[in-house]
Amino acid sequence: MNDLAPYAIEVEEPGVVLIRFRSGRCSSRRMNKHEVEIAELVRSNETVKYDLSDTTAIGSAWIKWMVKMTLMARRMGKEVLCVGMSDSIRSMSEVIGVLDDLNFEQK
Amino acid sequence: MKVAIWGAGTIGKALAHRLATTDFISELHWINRDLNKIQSRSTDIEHGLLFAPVCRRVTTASQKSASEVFDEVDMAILTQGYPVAQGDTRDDVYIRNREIFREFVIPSLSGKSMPIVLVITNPVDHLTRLLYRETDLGSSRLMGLGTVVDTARLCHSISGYVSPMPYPRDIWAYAVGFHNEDVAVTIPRMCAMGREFPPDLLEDIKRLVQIEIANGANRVKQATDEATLHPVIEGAVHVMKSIALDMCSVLTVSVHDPDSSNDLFYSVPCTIGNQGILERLDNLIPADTKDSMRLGIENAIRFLHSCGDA
Repeated sequence: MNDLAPYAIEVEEPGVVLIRFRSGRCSSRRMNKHEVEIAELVRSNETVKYDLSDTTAIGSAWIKWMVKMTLMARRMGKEVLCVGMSDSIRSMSEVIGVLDDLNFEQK
Repeated sequence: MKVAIWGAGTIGKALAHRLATTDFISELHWINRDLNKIQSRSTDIEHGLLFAPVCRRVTTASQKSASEVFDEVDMAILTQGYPVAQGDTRDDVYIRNREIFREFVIPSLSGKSMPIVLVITNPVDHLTRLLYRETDLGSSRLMGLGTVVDTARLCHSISGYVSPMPYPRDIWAYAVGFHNEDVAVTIPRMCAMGREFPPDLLEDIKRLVQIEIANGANRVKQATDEATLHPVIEGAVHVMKSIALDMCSVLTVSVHDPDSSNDLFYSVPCTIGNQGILERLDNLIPADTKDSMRLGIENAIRFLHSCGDA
């Protein structure tokens, strides 16, 4: 994991992947590349889980992407699922008003 | 450009400091009810003028001298008045702020066609209308900050949902109508200059950006430590810059509705230049947004009637 990919992708089982975010920080030149990659994961899998538990730095745009992916997946009959979120990310999600639109894993 | 700021509340103070460091303000004249409150601050701003791009003079004046100050400046920014208390609406301070405007501001502007006046005090639409009705400034030299800040929040919010993510300034969307809970937003499908904007998510995104705008406005109203008022200051600076440099920027300031028999002021996109309001761009507002603006217009008329101000 480095600045080229501020997240790691794990295949949990066929059709189910987990994106483990460390930092939502990266060069703005690569932001679109990351979004395209995440969108492709949503298209090619039934379930995309993501974990923001260990994420200590993130821009609001990354959270909005997650919201967008969640909404897109729902329209495709798929699922984008948040399996963990640090307090700071939760706080930012509240500030920008998207918390209710994130799909949290029921524990 | 020579500018006067009236008021030394949170916005007045922040604006005074910010304007001294801009590259288009040559003189700053600061007016306040209580001179003691601004003299030390004004001196500190003067001490920083060595590093200011163009500002060479900062003065203070009591509000009794406001009329003389207005004779010297190109533009005046009105920030004085009661702030909106937590749990109240902007309309709740109208009566009290109207009294302040009638007692001090309107006599100071009496008989003047200059300067260009930007009102920031809330409720901004109704107070700008009051100045229009009770001074000779006219409709092109008088504007309220209106929904400039709501539009800034809107464009930033939308940019986060567009791929690849553009600068907020590259988003063409507007918050229009009244600067209160009745604010309406217009988000054209091509608002992101040709970049991908998921059309099937348009309604969801519209809902989400409205929540973000409302959250931002609530932070300002709650005046907690999290409310920096930064976008308010930057919005006001951008309006002034557009006037000083004749930029013809499109901004959603609060302007006179020439078709309103009640002389209502509310925000529509306008070009702003060195003569003030150059042109209203009503054609940028689609029919469905105009429909939702009508509710705000009806509520404003009802409110003004209740204040004996129709």
